[in-house]
Parts: sequence; structure tokens; C-alpha cells
Amino acid sequence: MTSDSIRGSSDRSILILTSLADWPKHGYALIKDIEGFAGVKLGAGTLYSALAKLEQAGFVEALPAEERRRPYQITAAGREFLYQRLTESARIAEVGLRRIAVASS
Amino acid sequence: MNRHLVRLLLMLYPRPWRNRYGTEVVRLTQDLILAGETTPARGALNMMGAALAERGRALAYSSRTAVAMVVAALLAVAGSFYASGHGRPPQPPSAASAARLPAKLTSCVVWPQAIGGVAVQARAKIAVPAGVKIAVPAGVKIAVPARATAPKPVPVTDILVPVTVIVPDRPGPAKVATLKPARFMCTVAAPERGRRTLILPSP
Repeated sequence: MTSDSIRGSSDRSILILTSLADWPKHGYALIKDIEGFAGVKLGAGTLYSALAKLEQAGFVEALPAEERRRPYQITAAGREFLYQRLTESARIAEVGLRRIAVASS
Repeated sequence: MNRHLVRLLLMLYPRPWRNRYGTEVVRLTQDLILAGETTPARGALNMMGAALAERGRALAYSSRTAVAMVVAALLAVAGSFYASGHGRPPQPPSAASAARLPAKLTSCVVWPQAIGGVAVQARAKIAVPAGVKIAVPAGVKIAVPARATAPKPVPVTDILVPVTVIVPDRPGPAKVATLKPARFMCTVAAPERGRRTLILPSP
């Protein structure tokens, strides 16, 4: 599992990393948080498929379970990967928005 | 979801994945159902879809190296199909040799072979006119697995391999004067997508 395979996967990985960017969360908290900031409602199976890929890539890591739930936290590599992806997306968004503005003016 | 259904759903996942994440995904599904965030049917469907995706991913991941072998083997086989007559080297194509002989890829299968995981090797059979000789170019190695170790052929993953086959414009070892390439595409489809090995003839 490499950065490329994460890059090639859907945006779920980015949503999860974004959700974990501030502090660790368990599955249920991840789903609610992602639904809150992105309007995307992930299922449990979908979430853990993406989490498994991220963990294999070394972008997230599991923390000791609290009661019944196991929280996950973003790693330094995951934070760097997220930063690069978001920067790239922001640059593309900026170009796109600027061209839309020019075309419509 | 009842216990039997949960167990059934978990069985759909690859064992390593199930051992690592099975408990967590079941608990989360049950939490979502209890919180009214999803229904048992939707939860089960989501788990089922994710399990199938994991199965496919595990298969694709383990066969990634093997896919390279498939491509290499097919290209090696294809590259070896050039004609030679009585020791004469193949001649370059000429405008006079425009006729293309009928030749088609008769089969192209891949099968898993357990060598420290799932590996895939390929075998391609190409029907060529009588008189065409197969020569392996220098530096090209064709690995053909032994029949005894190869299980029943199984389509493993999506592979689109362009195979260039060169056949002489006229059959017969003594008549080979020019070469003309023909192109084949060999598509091997994933079994879960309900497709089988597909052979496309030469254009």
C-alpha cells in the first residue's frame, strides 16, 4: 500500500484524514464529523475499508480501545499527505474559480 | 442484525481483514442502527459491498506482481512470433507484401498459482499459418508453468494487453520473405463482474 494507491482511491481517504486532522476519533465520531463538514454519510463497511487502507499506508494508526470503541489518529505521514493533497486541490480550485470568473465577466 | 447474519457478513471479508477490523465494523454498524442512523438492511448491504470490495482489492493486490508477469509473458510470446525460413533472417515489411494472413488468438488464460501467495501466470495460444516458426528473441524468457502445478484456469483481474504478432505474408518456411504485424487484444475479466475471458481477433 502506497501513497499512490491512496491517491488513486476515492475522496473518502481525504475526508477521513481531514476529520482526524484535529484530534483522534473512533468510527462513529468519524462518520458524524464527516457528515457534518462534508455532507457525506459513510457506512460502517465503507469507513473501515478506507481506514484499513490508510492504516496500511501508515497514514493513520489505531489507539488503544476506549470502552467498546477504538479511536484512530492521523500520523505525521498522513498529515503531510493530507497537506499536499489539500494544497494541490486548493491550487486547482483557485485556477478553476479564476477562469470561471474571467469567462463570466 | 441478528448474530447469524453478522457472522455471515463477516465471513465475506478476507480473513486478515476480518481478524483486524471485523469486531469494530460490526460494533459500529450496530451503533449506527441503534442510533437510527441506518437500518439493518442498509447496514448489512454496506458491509456486504465493502466486503466484496475488500475481496477484490486483496485479490488485485496480491496479483499485482503477477499481472506484470502476465504482461511480460504475453509480450514475450508475441514477440517470439516472427518467421524465419531456412536460417534466413526475417526481412523487413515491404509494400508488395500487403496481404495479411488469417491468424487469431485462440486462447488467453491466467490462473492463480500458489507460490507464497497468489501469483498469476499467463499462457497465450496463437494460431498462425503453417510454416510459421516460433523463435525467442535474445534476452527474452518465456516462463511457462508446469501443467501439474497449474490449477484450473481462472480469470483473475482486468488486464488489457496489446499483443503484437508478426506473421509472414505467405506461409511456408521457404517462402517467407516479408513480415506484417497484426494486433490482438486480450482481455481477462474479473469473475465477480460476471465476465469471462474475452478474445478479440485481429483487426
